[in-house]
Amino acid sequence: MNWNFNCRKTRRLLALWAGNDLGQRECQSAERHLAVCPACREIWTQLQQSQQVLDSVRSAPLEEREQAAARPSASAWPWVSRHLRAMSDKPANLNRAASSWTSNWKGGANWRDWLPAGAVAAACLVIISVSLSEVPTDETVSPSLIRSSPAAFESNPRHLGPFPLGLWHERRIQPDDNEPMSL
Amino acid sequence: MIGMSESEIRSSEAAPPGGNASDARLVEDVRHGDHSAFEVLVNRYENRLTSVLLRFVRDRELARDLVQETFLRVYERLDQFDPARRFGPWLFRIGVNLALDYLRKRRRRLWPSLFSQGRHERGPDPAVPDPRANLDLEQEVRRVLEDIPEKYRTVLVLRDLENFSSSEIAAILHRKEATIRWRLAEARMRFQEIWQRRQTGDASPLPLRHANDQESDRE
Repeated sequence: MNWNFNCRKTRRLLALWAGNDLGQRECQSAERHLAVCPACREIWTQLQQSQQVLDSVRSAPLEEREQAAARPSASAWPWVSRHLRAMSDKPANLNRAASSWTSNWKGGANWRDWLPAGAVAAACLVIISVSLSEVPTDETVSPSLIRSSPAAFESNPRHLGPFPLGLWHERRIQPDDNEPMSL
Repeated sequence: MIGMSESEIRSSEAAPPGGNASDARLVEDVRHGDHSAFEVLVNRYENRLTSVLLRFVRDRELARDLVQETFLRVYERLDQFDPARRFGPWLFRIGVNLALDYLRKRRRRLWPSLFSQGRHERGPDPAVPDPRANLDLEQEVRRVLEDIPEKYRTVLVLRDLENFSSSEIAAILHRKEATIRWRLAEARMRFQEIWQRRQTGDASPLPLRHANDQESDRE
């Protein structure tokens, strides 16, 4: 049988079955598929073997785990109790500083953790400063002043400020137009 | 379905520290300022919590630091705890999250060395059997687990190495039980594949999986 949807679905059931995490009905469904699919039967054998490995690791605790469990001095309570007393003596907003987990750990949080945020902030500052330096410093000229003496602004268009350039050119080629300029 | 009852989760000792006082009662006492009630909770859960966290960090001193920090956080957040829920899974959630956060931070700090000095420091390829004949089973299992993505590995460790039930893992990881079962099946299949390849010396790349797409609607 080729690898198909039934195989994929059945192998999920088999993975759960290997650790006794499958209901009776689903077991029967998996069994029916195993009866006709040699490839899944092979996977089932391998799943049972790997589950045995995990079971043996679970039943054989680590040396560190045994030592930790055997050492009465390793109790967390003296340390926790000391910090609870310190918390009671200090204002609430200082509690975290006193008990920061990073201060407990060897090589805890350091300046590298803030490096990406700092780099982004620096980049933003550079962009803002560059964009500010390109803003014209001249005062914006009112449309009425442009209408009264357009030649004065012809040589330096920066004086126009936010005034629409297209509109300016349109007005320039019709100097006799007496209608009020709409902005 | 096989799993540990709440009393089994507490500790391997016959009588739990603090006698028969329920977790809910002790939590209530702590909320009223009784530190001795919190001591009972610490004594009741610290061995089990240490055992679980050692599965993640593999360092006794570090696990001890994490356990201490876990209890401190539990105390600080006790006003957020819903008394209608069980205390144990809530405590383990804080502890496991602390351990996973620590591992993520450590991995981020290791990134520069991974890029600059090559991958020689990563250890042997899990697909290739380790040449050392005396490498014990525990170490081999650990190497295989390291090659399984965190969200699957966490479920596998809690279920198959620490014997929590699916519903307890769901409470600890704050996910639906269906999601946990999905991840458990995926984790066991990945473990079986990598383990099998280590045994046979097969170094070809693992087949591409699409578990993420199918799991998203179970979250």
